[in-house]
Amino acid sequence: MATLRAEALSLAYEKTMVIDGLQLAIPTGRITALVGRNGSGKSTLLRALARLLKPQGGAVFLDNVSIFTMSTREVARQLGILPQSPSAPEGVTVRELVAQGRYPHQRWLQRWSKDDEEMVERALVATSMTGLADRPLETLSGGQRQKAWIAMALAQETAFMLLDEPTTFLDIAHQMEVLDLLYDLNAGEGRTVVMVLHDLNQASRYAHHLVALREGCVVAEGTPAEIVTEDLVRRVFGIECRIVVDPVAGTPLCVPVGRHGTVERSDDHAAGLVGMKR
Amino acid sequence: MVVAAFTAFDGSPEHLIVRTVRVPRALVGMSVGACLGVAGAIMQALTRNPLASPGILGINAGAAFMVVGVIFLFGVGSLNVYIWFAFLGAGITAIVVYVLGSAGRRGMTPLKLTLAGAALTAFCSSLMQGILVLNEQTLDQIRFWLGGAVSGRDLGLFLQVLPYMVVGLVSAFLLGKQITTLSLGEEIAKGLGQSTGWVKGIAVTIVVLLAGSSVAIAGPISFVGLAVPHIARSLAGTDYRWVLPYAAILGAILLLVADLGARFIIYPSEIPVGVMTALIGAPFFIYLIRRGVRQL
Amino acid sequence: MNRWLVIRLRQPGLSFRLDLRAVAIIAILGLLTAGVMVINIGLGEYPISPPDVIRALLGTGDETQRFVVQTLRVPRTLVAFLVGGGLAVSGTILQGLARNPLAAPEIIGITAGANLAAVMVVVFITSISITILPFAAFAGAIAVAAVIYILAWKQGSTGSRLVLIGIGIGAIAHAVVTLALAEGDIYQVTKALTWMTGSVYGKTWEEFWLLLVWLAIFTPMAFLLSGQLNVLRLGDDVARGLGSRIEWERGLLLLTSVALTAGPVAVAGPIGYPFGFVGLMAPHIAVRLTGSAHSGTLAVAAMAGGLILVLSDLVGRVLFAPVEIPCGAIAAAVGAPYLIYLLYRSRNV
Repeated sequence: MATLRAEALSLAYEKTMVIDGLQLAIPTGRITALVGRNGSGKSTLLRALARLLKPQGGAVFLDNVSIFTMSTREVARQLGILPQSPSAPEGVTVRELVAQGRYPHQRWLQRWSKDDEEMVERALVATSMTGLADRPLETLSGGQRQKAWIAMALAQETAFMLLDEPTTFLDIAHQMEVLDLLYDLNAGEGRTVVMVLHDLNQASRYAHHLVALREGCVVAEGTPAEIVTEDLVRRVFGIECRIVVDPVAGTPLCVPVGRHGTVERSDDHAAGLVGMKR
Repeated sequence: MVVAAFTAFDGSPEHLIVRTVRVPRALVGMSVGACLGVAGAIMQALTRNPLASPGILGINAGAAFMVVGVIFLFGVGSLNVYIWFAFLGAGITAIVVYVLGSAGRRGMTPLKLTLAGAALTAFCSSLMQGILVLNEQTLDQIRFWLGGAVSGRDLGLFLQVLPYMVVGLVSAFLLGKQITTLSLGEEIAKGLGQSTGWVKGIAVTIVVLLAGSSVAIAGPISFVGLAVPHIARSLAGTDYRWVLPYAAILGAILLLVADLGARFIIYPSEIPVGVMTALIGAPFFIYLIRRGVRQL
Repeated sequence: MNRWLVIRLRQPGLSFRLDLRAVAIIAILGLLTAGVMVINIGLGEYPISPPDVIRALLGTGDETQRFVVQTLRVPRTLVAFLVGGGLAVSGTILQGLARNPLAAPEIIGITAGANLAAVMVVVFITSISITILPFAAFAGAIAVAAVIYILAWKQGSTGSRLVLIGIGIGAIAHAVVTLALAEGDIYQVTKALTWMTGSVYGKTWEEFWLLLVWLAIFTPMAFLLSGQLNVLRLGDDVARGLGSRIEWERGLLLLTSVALTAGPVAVAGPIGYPFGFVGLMAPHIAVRLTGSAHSGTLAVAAMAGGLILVLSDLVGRVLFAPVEIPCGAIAAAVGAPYLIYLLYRSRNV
């Protein structure tokens, strides 16, 4: 199976060095989430992995080949990216958008092969968008639109899917819808998913592998159960919190401690139990 | 000596020239420049399109068409009369564009306004060109005015148009904060409690006053309204309370410099000012674009 | 809503899909165009009724009629169609590249450059024959496009930079033209102005074939590149993610667009200059007709542009007969109200 990793990666954004000498291996066939504060470099890192940014130093290797030595088309057949807030031209229907995902597989004269048609249908089915396929994108809700974009990335038939904040701007129901869909795609088809997530708790719940970034460096990586601790949250996000066990998923749940709205610290804090009567 | 020409007028030729030719000319140039700069800035904020300007949105074309039409039909000769027709043409076009841009279900959207303006501009200018081809006489009379000129305007005429300019400029500056809010986007503005319909309407009225009076007195000068706002925004940022005054000053400067150039470059013959504004403004505009496009 | 017609050929390994609605619209526009052409051919100082026109086209019927029809009238109306089509496709490409509805060859300086070259030649080189004009115009368009591209290049180009710089260059070109018009001799100036309005008057078969060959090279290119254009419209990031080589494709598309403008302008003058009509409006009309900016727009825009110019030519000849108003002047007068009507009726803008 294909592997994706970054070695000694250095990235600058408008003359400021954002990431310097970063090392990261993306576990194949798993869901990886990049978390960190705004400006920690997580989006920049994702874009570099997706070949959208040219590194100032180091390289990103796809199957041990540096992606910048590959043509954009070759890379597009293996890596699919969904950037933040993508925009589509007016009047584009879901089906048309998803069909765009077949671009890396098309040739000058082969513009709509049987494969293309099949993959588009499959992508629509996988994202439950078949019923909405002929609707213009702008008439759909935020969550449905996001699913349409994911369907496009699906039709691209890539082993890796990179998503930049796919759930930001969505309401909670749609957030869950999108995350569950990504989980299904990973579990069912073995696609490797790498996503930048704002919400640490969502990341803990859905990711197999968590990468916490701060100021362009990897502070910790591993399974959520391993690395999500109060100490990590303090270092990465700069806030105090309590880590309890998510009552639904059993993963670590970070409950932030702000300046207001806290009750007295109970003696059972260390045990991390929820619903404990005082 | 300039000051003395006004305070201690002694009938000498130098004083006369300063009084009747140079100062009015400078004043006209500055005010036209200021008005066009501000009008352009408002248009670009309103349509959220960096390509918008009074020129492309129909005002220059409407004014020019009206003037050409009137000359063609009635053979009117004097500048004094042109002015009011130009103003009228500008006003009518602006209103039509605004109405068209607001028609249909979603009310006024930047795209519709822009397209309506462009369509109307194309319409008016094509009709105008048709007339000019048909009638060589009209062409001869009009071609210099078509290039824009700030000379030969006596002070009296200017003073008649000035109140509109002043009202326009002052209202624009006062509206600066509202325009900034509106430039963030229709929904954000509404969310912040702004009555966007009113603001848009007032903004368009201001543009008519400013652009209309400029075209009336100086002919269609087309680059200032497009380029000056970009320059103003790169200096002043996105707060229109600052951008608008900057646009006014920059516009005035551009036009003054252009006028100087127009007079002396092929002395003693004169280049139309509209030509100079483009020749000076455009390279600078291009330089700015290369430095970084500010998407409003 | 989306009905696609899929065409797959095993032998040359060809497959593509066509949007049915677009196909229907193209067919209708085609019929309309044919009809208008027949009427146009029939009108003029020597009127010929439509059935006679058809006979003349088929090679039967009255000899004088055949001459008038085949040698004089047909070429000009065909040229009008080609010019309109070429400009419309050019405008569609530019609007997609710039992602701005105001982008059009007339506005971003390409037509201005062509115009400048031609006007300078007419006004200042009084002894020149009219046949040099197309070459001058052509050279002007290419030169300006090159300048714009070079200036817009800064570690890559962006759509909006190209357009804005194009406007700047166009403004300079326009200013110099205005200067030439204001300073030049009135007779030369009138000649220049006539050329400037754009007209298909007196176009011959030679010019038709020239233009046809030229367009036959670049229009298919535009269609082949339409897939790339669609991808670019999704934004630079998504496009790269889908495997698009952005700079190459933008460059190629721009080249195609310039070529599709330079040809028509060389043959018929800068139609619609300086505010544009066909290149600016035809794409919008196409979008409103097909309901989407996505599929089949190129072809529909081409048909719409062709129809508009043919119609304008007709109106221009008839309106103030026997004086002829150049079709460029009429194009906007005909098309702008229609666009405005479409805007008014559009549910989605």
